[in-house]
Amino acid sequence: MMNRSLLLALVMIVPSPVSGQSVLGSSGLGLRIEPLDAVQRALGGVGVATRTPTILPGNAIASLDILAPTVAFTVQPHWGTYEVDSEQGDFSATRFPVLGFAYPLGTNGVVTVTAGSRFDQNWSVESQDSVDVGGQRVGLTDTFLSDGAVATIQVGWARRWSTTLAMGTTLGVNRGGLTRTFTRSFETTVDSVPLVSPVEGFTSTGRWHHSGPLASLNLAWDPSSVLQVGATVAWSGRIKLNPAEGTDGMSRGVSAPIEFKVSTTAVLSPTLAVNAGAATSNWTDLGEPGLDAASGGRVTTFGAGVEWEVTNFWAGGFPLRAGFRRSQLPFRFLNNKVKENTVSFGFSVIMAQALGLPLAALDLAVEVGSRDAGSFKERFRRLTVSVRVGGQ
Amino acid sequence: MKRYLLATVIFCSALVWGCKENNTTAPDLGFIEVNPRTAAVTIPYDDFVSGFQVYGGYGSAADFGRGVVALDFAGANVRALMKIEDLPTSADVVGSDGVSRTDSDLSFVGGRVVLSFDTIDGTLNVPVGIEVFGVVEEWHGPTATWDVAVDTAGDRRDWTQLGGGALNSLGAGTYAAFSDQQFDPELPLLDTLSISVDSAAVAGFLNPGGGSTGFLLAATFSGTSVNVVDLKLVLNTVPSTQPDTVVELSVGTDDVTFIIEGVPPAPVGWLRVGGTPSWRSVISLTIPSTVDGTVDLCGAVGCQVDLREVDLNLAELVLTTRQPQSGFQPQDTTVLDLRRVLNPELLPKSPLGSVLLPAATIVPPALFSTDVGAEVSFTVTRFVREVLEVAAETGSVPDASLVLLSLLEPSDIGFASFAGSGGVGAPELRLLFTVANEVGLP
Repeated sequence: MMNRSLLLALVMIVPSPVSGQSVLGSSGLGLRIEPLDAVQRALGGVGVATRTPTILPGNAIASLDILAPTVAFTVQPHWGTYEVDSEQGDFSATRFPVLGFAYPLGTNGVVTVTAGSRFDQNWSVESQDSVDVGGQRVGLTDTFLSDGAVATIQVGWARRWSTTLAMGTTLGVNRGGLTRTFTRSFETTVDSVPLVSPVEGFTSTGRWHHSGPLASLNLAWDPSSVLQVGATVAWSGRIKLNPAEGTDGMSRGVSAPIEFKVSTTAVLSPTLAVNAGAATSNWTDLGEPGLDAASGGRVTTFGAGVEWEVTNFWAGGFPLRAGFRRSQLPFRFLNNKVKENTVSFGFSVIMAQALGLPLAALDLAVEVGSRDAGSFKERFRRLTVSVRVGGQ
Repeated sequence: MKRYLLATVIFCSALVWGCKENNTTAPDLGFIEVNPRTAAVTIPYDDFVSGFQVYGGYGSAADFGRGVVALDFAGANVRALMKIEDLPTSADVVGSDGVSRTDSDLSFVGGRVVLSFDTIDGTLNVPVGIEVFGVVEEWHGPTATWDVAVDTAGDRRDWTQLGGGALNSLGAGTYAAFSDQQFDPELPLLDTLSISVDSAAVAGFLNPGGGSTGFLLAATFSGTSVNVVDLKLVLNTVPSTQPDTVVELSVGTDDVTFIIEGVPPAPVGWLRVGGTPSWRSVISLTIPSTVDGTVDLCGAVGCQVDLREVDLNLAELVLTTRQPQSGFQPQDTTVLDLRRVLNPELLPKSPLGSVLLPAATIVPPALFSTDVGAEVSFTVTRFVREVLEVAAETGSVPDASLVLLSLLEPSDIGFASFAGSGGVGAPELRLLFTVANEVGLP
């Protein structure tokens, strides 16, 4: 019955398209969308294991404390506004940045299968003009629509080698698709009078597929009873962009850089912990001149948060979380580096637990943030809801 | 556990479905990288027309289903011809005992012709004089014209006198549509006219050797025109069984047409469409594969643009109106259709292709009178695109012919007239196309 319920959950969620809507995704490989769940988002995390056992793409150690086969998925609606010079607008969408399954190997090991977001290339721009047709000025609208994303699919394995040391690894692939469409459409009326001869529009489309390997090494070390340190080295092979049938052009490849992540958790009391982390990667020399020109160079992410298990609720503890995060994005926008800042708040509801560890839980994070790139500014609110369900 | 999971699923589903996708559509910040350029070029007559022909004789005035009567109306003289049904040879008469009996011994003592008019079209604001004639020469409705009474296969007979042959005047009257409204503006327009005919004329109809073949209606007041939608011959008869009683017997029409004086011959040098019978104009096209590029496309140096490689947004055949001959200006909107001639060798009877225009082109009559010289454009985007696609596959642009015709043949005595080869107003082909770089990766 449990498995049927899980299947139902997945069927209801998966059909919606994965998409993001920021025009910042027009640069380079797109807007970076980190595969973080609600716990990481609430704590300002960088994607390295914290106290809460969960399933994270690229970090198998995060699932070591999972007691039973567990499925996790994350839903992330967001709403935002943008402003550039005198122009402004809004956007909203729902993403599914994390989907995963973890299977414990005894009490000291785990294997994971995850799908996670990486880059979002969903954006559009438009402009208006007019053209003379038989002495009449007929209005036209140019629209450039980009619809695509790069995601990762990884298999992970982790093992606890001692009470204070654990190591893990993941292997996987980058997969994705991109459709870029230019459309010129013409008005059907002039001064509200229908045109005798409607002008047909113009459309040009290109399609590409993304592929490429990736891997990571994960480390967790507890140097003392109050301190936990985690680290991840994420390697990405060359991400190939192959034109689909009907699209002209050569295959291209992007040498994505190695990313280093480190995080530490200080357990100040049984109910209070502080988490801080950083990640860095160097996006210069990507092997593609067009992308190198838009490179953000070395980009770094810092984040910190606090978790306070204030009381018990439902079947377990009720941890409240708050955090902040500051990051740079890998690609410039309009020749400006893009910075993202968020403050966050969240909590977890444990729906079932065993041996003090959650079997089923709902995690929630609310973020308020901004992205800036020169005169371009975005303000957004992001809700992240993660569900973890485990059982035999 | 199951309850918790179900609650979570419902919560997350509501979250997903409640959040509508709303794409950012930012202003162009330099991301439209394909450099789109839309250019308009006009191809002159000599560069795309290899010839044109005008063909007449499509349809017949008999297809109108009504008669037209005009005298020097915008220069046109038109007469209506009508045949009546067989005359009655008996009548049912109610005797003094109240029983109805058939009486075949009838004495006709006179009658009247009752005309019904169209109260929408014509010179209704002035009285229209109508004279009714008896036609004595044999005529054929679908082929009768001002000059010819019969023009069927192997049988062509001219009228002995133009315009209906020798005629016997049966009577005359004046139709004044607004006569009743002079007394009461609320009354509807009058739509009938009754013209008395004497017993001698009736006897002519009744006598098989009298030679009557129908009625001809002619206008008697200059500058007037009306449409006759119906004619009835009402006969007054005295039955032998009731000699003190006059019985009216009504006879309807079964063949209606009209004849027009001075229909011009096929034009030379310009296009004609419509009229009665209808005209069609066939334009033979040789669309060039290249045109001179605009400054936007080529810069100051100039270049040739290969039409087979561009994306065509619009193609219009542009014609310029001219004044038709006197008497043949359209009195109503002309609805024009444009089709491909599928087998030009079979013209004027070639089969035609499907409709090319997105909608029939409606041309107001003023464009052929007070506003002559106006441009009328016909959308032929699909046609030109197909021709260019064939050209792209075969390497050469195929010849093609288009026919311009009236959507309803016939629909008006007047016809549309357009400038032809050479000079100001000659047909042009206006093209609008877009050139852009391929969509690529950033």
